[in-house]
Amino acid sequence: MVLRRFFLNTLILFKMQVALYRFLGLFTAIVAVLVPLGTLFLILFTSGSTSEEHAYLLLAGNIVVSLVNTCITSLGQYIGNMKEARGFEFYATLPVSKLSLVLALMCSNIMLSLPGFIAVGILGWLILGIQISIGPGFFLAVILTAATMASIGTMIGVTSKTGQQANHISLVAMFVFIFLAPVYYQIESLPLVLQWWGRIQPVTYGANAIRAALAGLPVSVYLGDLIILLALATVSLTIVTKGIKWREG
Amino acid sequence: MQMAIEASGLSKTYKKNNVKANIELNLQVQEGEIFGLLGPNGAGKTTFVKQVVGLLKPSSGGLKVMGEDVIANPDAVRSRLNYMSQNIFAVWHLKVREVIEYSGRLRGLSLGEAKKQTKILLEELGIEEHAEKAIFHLSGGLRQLAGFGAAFIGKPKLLVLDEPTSALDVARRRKLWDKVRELNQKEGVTVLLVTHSVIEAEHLLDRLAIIQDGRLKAMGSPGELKQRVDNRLRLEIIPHNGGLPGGLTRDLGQVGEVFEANNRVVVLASRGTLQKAVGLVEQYGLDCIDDFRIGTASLEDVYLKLGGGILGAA
Repeated sequence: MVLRRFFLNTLILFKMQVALYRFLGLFTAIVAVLVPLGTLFLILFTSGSTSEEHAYLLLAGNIVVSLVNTCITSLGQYIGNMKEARGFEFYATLPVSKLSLVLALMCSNIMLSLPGFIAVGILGWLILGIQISIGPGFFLAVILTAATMASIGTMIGVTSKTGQQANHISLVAMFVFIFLAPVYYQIESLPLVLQWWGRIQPVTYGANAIRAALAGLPVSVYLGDLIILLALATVSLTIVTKGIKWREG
Repeated sequence: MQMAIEASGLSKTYKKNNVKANIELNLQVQEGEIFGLLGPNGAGKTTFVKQVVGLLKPSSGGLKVMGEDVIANPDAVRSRLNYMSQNIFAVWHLKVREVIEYSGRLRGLSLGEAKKQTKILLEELGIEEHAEKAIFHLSGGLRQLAGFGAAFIGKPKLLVLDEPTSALDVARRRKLWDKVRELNQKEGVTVLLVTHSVIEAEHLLDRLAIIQDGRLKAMGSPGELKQRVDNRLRLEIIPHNGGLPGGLTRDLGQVGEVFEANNRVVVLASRGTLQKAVGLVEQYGLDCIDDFRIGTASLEDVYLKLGGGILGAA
């Protein structure tokens, strides 16, 4: 009964969040597509022709960028601004758990990132001309990567003192995760310091898993990445849920 | 009779600026009554309410709501009360109908029951024509009504309303008072109402507490509190050009207790001495006043007396 109530509340809160995209949906979807697409074109046109391996790197990298953009930047900014305006007071006095709200926020943003990475995936595949494989492993990799990113975005929003601070931190986070982690390149091609840095970044495992899934490799090849993503998502979700304070003072 | 709310020695100091918002509050709200918190801006009313609904942790003292210790277990009260938040920014994008319906669903109503109650509330609050509009498209008053709907749905045991009619026109305000009274009388809902409107307090409340500077100044029914102002009569003067001649104010202070607020001068005096007050005004000339009224003491007098503004005493 308690579990049923929890899932029902999470679903209702999810519907409430998704309704926001009636007004912001088109704009956010455009941004979700433009940022990774722009990055894809920039890399493609400046680096010239590309090998198959490089093509998978670019495609997986752009899907990760799309997820980072919506699940960290957009979500972090939204939560930070909402917190500053004390907007969560509305939910804090309803009989809903923090975990329900956090899951609803995360799932709605993951859903928002769908147009972005679908468009990037399709266009990238057409432009790059490679065979891609979309199977259960791919969806699992995407969902776990998105869940981890969304936890980070939520953490940024919840821990920021103001909405503007959340905006700044999430933009810095986006830069760090996209350019200082092996999203568009193999980890071995990075300087040693960044290799170590990359090993503690969730995007590294997300990009690895998505790349392997797109290339049609068996799940066993990237199972380790999936397990790490699952662990990171669980830990960060727990930290975020505990970090949200319904009650001040 | 069980208490809906029991505060004992409740204090709250905001750490950020060391402001003592509530100081040793001792008050009880009985189940089934409409209880009000009356006081000026910054008195500490909203601070108290936020502690009741679990949004703010008290600095010291005890607080029980519907038998639950709110300090130890703030989550427990959320299923026992409905709170009308002043802030519905989180749902500004939702339609009016959705805000009310989803609030009901989150409080445990089935889909059918939530839709049914939403329809009824939209009609009763007079906002059915705005049902499909987003909250951010509405005026302040209509947003407040939508907030009401979200607070009323779900048949609460305890309803907490924080300055609920501040943005409403007179007609809508009356309608809302009727709805609150109906919930209280027909369904036994306990109501905690924060207001700085004495008119609202007079119309609605069974008992009230007057709070100022974080302290409880007085508590009781409106009738009990008015008796504190004795059986004196009340002469209310609207001065011409914003103020009475200085000499008149001084002389009035000799015959009765004088308050000044909202561009009016109020003189409280016994029947015999009030005639002297009227005589004094005539002496200085009726040109110095725009209007006057004589009546019995009101809740406003109690409020003003405890809130300061005394210029003289008999």
